[in-house]
Amino acid sequence: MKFLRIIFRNAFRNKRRTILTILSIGMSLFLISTLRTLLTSLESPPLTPESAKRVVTRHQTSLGAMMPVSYREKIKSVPGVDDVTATQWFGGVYKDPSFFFAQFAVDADRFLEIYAEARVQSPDQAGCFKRERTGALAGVKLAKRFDWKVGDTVTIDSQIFSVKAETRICGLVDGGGSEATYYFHYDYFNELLNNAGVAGTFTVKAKSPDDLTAISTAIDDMFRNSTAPTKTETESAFILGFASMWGDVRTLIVSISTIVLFTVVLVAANTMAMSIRERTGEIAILKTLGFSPGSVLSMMVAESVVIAASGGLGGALAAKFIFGSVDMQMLSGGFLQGFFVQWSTVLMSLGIALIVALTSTTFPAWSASRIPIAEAVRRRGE
Amino acid sequence: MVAVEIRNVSKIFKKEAQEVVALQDASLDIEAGGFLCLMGPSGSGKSTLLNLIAGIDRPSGGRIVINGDNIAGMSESQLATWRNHTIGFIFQTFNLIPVLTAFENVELPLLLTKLTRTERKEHVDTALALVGLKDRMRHYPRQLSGGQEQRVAIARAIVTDPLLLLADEPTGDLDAHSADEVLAILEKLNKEFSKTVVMVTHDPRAARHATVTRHLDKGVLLPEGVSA
Ligand SMILES: Nc1ncnc2c1ncn2[C@@H]1O[C@H](COP(=O)(O)OP(=O)(O)OP(=O)(O)O)[C@@H](O)[C@H]1O
Ligand SMILES: [Mg+2]
Repeated sequence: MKFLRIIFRNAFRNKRRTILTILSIGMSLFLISTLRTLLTSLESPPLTPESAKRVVTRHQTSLGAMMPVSYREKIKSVPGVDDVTATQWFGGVYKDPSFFFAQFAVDADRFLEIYAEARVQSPDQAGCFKRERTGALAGVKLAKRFDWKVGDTVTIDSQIFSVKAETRICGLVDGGGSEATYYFHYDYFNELLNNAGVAGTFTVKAKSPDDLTAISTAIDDMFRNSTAPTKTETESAFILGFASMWGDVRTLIVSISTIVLFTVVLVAANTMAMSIRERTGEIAILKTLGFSPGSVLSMMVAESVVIAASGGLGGALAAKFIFGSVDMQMLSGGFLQGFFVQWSTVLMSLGIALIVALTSTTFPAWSASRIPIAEAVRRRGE
Repeated sequence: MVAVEIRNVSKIFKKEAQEVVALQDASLDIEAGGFLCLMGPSGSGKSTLLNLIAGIDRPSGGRIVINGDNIAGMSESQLATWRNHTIGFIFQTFNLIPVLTAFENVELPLLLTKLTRTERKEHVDTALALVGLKDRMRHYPRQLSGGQEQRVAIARAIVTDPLLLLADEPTGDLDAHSADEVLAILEKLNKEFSKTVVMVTHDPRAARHATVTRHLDKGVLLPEGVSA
């Protein structure tokens, strides 16, 4: 403990250099923390007990391909299935195209039973949604963003189907990811498409979570030889698959993090090597006073740990604070849920900082601590 | 009583294929409580001999026994601890750690001991008072004059109450007035506190403070009374 003072003084002897190093380590670990949080958020959408009972059926070839809506009743007849709703991505724009949010056409009569975690503010609102042909439910965050009230008419212009849905808000929903999503009737959507009778996905609720595998297999077997074969998977796997449309997200994130990490080790190594080289004479003095090479080495490593840990902790805490105060669910149009930096990520960031400190400093500090005193003193005069 | 016994000590530096004999078969006894001055032309081996006595360099041959301990037989870390207890060393320049205050610089060697914070403070206060710099203890080296820096270095050299005080041209960089102050302190430490002092110097005036002066020439320690 009594060595802390000299360690801290040494760490901040060149304030500008140290602050720049802390900033670059901090920014790198901010980025790494963010990427890890993104990965966590993508790979583990918040699993409510309800979502653990659901599977999603889509066209085997791609998310864009449609299936006949008649599949709905066929799927419902599969043993173990409680209920099914068509879930159609509308891909629409409301006023300003730059603000993206998710809209789904669903079977209003059963949607709220299948998505039991989505809570409508009152039974009246739920009743209105089921009854009205153009009735809609708006996520509470969306309503807040656009200043929508129950009863407002909202026109959404689909970029995929080139139709306009003129809907009326029956109520507001909250919970299970619904807060940034807009729901309206599949039947109305079908009407807009001149009764084409197609759907992109079906959301299937099982009676028990234990049956999910059996149900998925049964559904896919049923349509294997049809014109539109299906792929059925759990809701969380489906969401991750959705993310993978942009490539192998995990590999991408891990490679970016590795490159960032490598860069930050180089930056830190450069700073520490510079700062240690300037101190050859002082190291000789410390050793003359009786400090062993090992204790000189430890002090320099500790100094580097102070610098790297400040950066690592600062970067991760900044990420935690920033993502804790902005609504990533809204910013991502409902796509990213549970986007907050966990304490385990802050710890990981601190761990990475320690590794950065050790790998960047151990070697230069070790060689400097081993220069014979007499030689270091001679060198100093040059 | 003999504090330092040097027997047939030599030091050879190997530079690539070339060998430099920096010290050749030197033998010397330093009396406890003595003030030895080492003189000689540049490159004659003065620093080499002083470094060997301080245990910051190792002899190529011979024996160095200090207060009964043969330091040639010690490991690197034993030697470090031994230096902390036994040796106070003052270099010509750059003695102080720039990021530490005068007080903290003097406290450094005590950090390696078991002394408590309060005890350390007492020792540092005493040492700084002895060199007349108690009022400067919160100053950083860059806020001190060259002479004051050397006096802080002396305070740090004596704070562990070592047996031997070794100084390599401690006044080499100082003006005459500051040099006198530093020499007066060394003399006081020798006379009043019975410290054994070994000082390397080029300055014949400085040598007048010593009780014994020995000369070196081309790595050879000349007999008493002989100079190059
Ligand atoms: N590490 C080293 N490598 C090679 N030669 C060295 C080394 N250290 C000292 N020498 C040589 O040993 C000889 C004695 O050097 P030393 O430093 O002891 O001289 P000195 O008497 O202290 O000189 P000065 O008055 O200039 O300080 C010199 O020739 C020097 O070049
Ligand atoms: Mg010399």
